[in-house]
Amino acid sequence: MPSSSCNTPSVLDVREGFWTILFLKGIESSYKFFENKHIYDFSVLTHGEKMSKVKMNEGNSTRMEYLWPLRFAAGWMFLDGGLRKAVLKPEKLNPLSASFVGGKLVNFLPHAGPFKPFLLMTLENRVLDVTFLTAFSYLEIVVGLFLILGVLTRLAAFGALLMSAGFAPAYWLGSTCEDEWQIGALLVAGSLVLMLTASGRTWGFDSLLYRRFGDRALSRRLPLLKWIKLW
Amino acid sequence: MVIHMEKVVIVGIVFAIIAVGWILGTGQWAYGNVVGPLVNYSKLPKVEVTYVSAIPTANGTALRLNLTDVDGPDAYPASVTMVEIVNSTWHVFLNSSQLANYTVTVYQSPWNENKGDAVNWYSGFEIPLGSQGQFVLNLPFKLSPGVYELILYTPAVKPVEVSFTSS
Repeated sequence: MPSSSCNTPSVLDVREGFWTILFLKGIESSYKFFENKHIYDFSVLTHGEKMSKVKMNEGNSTRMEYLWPLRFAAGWMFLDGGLRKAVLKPEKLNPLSASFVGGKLVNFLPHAGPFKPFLLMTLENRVLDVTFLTAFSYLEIVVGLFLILGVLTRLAAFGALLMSAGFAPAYWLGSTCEDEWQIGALLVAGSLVLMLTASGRTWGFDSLLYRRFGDRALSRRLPLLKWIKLW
Repeated sequence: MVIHMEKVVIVGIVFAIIAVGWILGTGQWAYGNVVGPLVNYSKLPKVEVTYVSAIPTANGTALRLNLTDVDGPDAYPASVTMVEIVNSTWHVFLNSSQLANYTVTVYQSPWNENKGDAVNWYSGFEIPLGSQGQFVLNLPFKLSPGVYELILYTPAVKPVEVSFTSS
């Protein structure tokens, strides 16, 4: 009958009531949680900080430990590249060998754009060519190791950033897909993140350096170098 | 209106712009993948003839060809497996073994590394990506004075044609 069905709550009404009460309780407890300042002292935070801390859930999503896989990936790309040339197959740095990597620079030439004059100058001067490639390979090893171990991470990431951007003349090479550009773009972005976040201060030797010396830059006075941090 | 921003936010915005600019800019430059047209220069080889001359000798013709490969994969050299010389009344094909037999010298450009331009019986002229070389051929026949077309055949791509004058 219509009248009794209006007065007696149905199963659906009971369920809705339950979820409504649960929802209101949730809001109430959340309000109490923040009102009582269980974790954050909101009075000293700016609006932006309040928003980011509430929304990002600082308890897990912004933990520096989560950057270690990126540190390892970027570091290993460089360490592996350097080891292959300088240690595992040293013929790659021997200009008399057929495996000499100088040939790679020749491959970059056709679409190297503004980098072409530098490449030609390097290739036409054999001493410069060999010196550059040898220095680059050992620098790759150092930067890679430092990133993985978290030693002078910000400086190492800055070096990684320059090297990643530095092989832009090869970005056009990608016979299966956009290979070199994708590698370079991801390494540029990854190096930037590692540099900005000082990721070596967690799970890295930089934590010791930071505790002992605090924040240090390449130079305290020179305008550009004071922005380049060591760890 | 004055907007106050934290230093961290400003640094974040600056480096975000740098990262986005670099990635989109280089992607456009290398592959045209922002506004097109889409390109990938490392898919197929593209042999270019930068110089050609034909000079009669005592028992034939000295043909000089400057060849370079400006597109294609870096793992393997471009190959010119056959050459055709043609004018309005006559033509001749030179296959890879003839190219190898008639080539007396390959001059490498100053920037070529140890994998320079070469010739062999099976692939004909081999030109690594980016390198350039001058192939000197002693052809065992005389080209009468006049204008000729030189056609270079590379597997899987369109033949390359260039005109030259035999003196």
